[in-house]
Amino acid sequence: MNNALIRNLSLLGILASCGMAFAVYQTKNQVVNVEKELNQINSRIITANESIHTLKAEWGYLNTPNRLEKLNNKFLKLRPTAVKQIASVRNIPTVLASVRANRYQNKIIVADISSQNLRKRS
Amino acid sequence: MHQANPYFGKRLAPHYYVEAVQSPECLQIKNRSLISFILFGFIFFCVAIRLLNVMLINNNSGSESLSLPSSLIERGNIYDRNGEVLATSLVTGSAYANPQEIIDVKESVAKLISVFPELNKKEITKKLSSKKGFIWIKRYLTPKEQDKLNYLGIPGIYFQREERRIYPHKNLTSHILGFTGTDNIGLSGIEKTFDSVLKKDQQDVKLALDIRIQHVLHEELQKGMIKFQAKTGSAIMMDAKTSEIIGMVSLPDYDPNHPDKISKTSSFNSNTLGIYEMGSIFKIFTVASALEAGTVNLNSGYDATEDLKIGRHKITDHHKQKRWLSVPEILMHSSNIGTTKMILDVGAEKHKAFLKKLGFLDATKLEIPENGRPMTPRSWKDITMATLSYGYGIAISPLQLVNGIGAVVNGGLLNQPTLIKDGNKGASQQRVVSSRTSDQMRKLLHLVVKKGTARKSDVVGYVVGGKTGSANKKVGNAYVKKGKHRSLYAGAFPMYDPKYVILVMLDEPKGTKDTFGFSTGGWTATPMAKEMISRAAPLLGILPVDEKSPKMKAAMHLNYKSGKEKHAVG
Repeated sequence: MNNALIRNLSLLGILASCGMAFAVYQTKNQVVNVEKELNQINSRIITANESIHTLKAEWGYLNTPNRLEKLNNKFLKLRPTAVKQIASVRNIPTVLASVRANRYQNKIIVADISSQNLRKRS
Repeated sequence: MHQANPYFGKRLAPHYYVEAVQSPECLQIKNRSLISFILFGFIFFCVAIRLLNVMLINNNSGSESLSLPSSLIERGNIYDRNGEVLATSLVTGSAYANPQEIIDVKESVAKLISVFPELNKKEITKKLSSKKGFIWIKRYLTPKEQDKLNYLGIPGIYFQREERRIYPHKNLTSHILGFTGTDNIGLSGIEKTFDSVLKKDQQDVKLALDIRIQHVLHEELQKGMIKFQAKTGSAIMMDAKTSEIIGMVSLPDYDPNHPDKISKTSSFNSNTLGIYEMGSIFKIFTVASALEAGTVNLNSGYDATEDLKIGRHKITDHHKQKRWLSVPEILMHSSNIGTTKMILDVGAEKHKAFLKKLGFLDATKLEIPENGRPMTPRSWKDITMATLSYGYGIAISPLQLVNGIGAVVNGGLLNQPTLIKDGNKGASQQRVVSSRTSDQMRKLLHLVVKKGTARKSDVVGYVVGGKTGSANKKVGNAYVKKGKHRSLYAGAFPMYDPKYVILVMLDEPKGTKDTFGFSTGGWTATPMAKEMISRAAPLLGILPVDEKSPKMKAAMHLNYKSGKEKHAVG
């Protein structure tokens, strides 16, 4: 091995270790910064969570059935749905049929009923 | 220059080197360099150790990164079945003062009272003038109050952040959720049972409760209690197939937000902790037991013309028919004589086994700590059996009653009652009656609503079925005949395929002008149940049916003999 090579190698070694030391320092520094950021984000998450809890509680208060009922009585005056207000879809054709039958009996021809069936019969 | 230096470019020969070292000046240089080498070596060694220490061993010297900052809110939320918040926690500020830092006590007190008029002026002045280092001014302030106090800018006053449990629905959920004490420890209800789940695991709990139904029950029960001047009231609505409790109200109740103001009477959960003799409602189980045992069918019956004597006791009817009654008529007219004869035919052993299967002889295991133990007969003699057949001599909780009725009408399968959504998913059901008996019971209970004592609970379209009851209260050892009784109604809807079971109970209701002075179950609890059903059913998505349609008539038709007309009626 000649001397020049050894000198170059050690020079290279020194440079490399300097470079690595710098890289380590940089990384470490970055980690510290990222950790700071993480801490901030975490505390923001906690604040947000606490706000969510507060908002949920407030939403709960606003949705209390008692309060809604009072508001309803004041502004909407809705009543519980009565049985006669609910009909099943299946019953609708029979209702239509009875309406049609009534119209024939009274001999009133309504323009908007355009079914073939109707025309044929009339 | 190259020429001037004869050694340039050449290595020194070993002998020159040895020569140089041996000279005294060189020796001095050698020593000095050795000293500096050792010195620097030591310093570099220290630096290396420190580097190793910083980078590899002690990770936390830079920042406390890996331990997450923790939230003050630890306890999980409680939701109803639709995700409405029933209980949650807030971070509130509690105001405290360091009296040593207070500059002007008088001014500070005046300012404090302007924000919190409820504070005692004398007390707070005394506290602030003391030489202590810490005094509480007011605990658990709302964000608004904190803002106001901050705005005053009194020196020496600080906030301490604390977790506080909030129940937005106040009294509506009192007995079910229970409440928490200081340090957020659950002291009753769901809060106690699920304390570790909510606190340690910080998990949320989803209840089977529907806050809308809870409100309907609460409001109607309160109305009824005021109308009939009852002492206490109870109402339960339960899913007939899964035994999930969707509404359960016990009045009087309390506001769990202020656990310090809860009285003993208001904290009593009559639905689970209270046990009562249920009176005529128990005839449901007598008839079911007899049908199941096969000792009667819908066409058989018993003679109720004359009062029945068992030993020295006499059994009489309230709604006297004085004739032969078929099984449906016994239930319709609530005949004590009929059910007594019926139960004696079934026999003690079989009936006891039946009640055991329904869970009436053991304590309920609901997910709250407040569970009562039934009072059961010590002996099963004839007279005990007789009173048992119409609901005396056995005391169970309203929750057990409603669960038992659910099992009788839902096809015959009993579940454990539960407050948790999907709490019975995958759990095994126990058969208590055959599906045939259950079908007959559904028709019978519908008949009681259509033609019997429970007519006032009929919501046409929702095919209601039910039974009324009035139980005399025991004072000491004797039953009080007049004035003091419990009025009950228990039912289910829609009877062609029961989805929900309902129970209403009033303690010591008084009659009104509208009820012609009557205060029995049929006049008090029954119309209340009607209101509850007609309001709750649309919310629960139950489609009303045409009860007069041929299909529905066929489904609910019950062919029975009548002792009066001696022919079949529909």
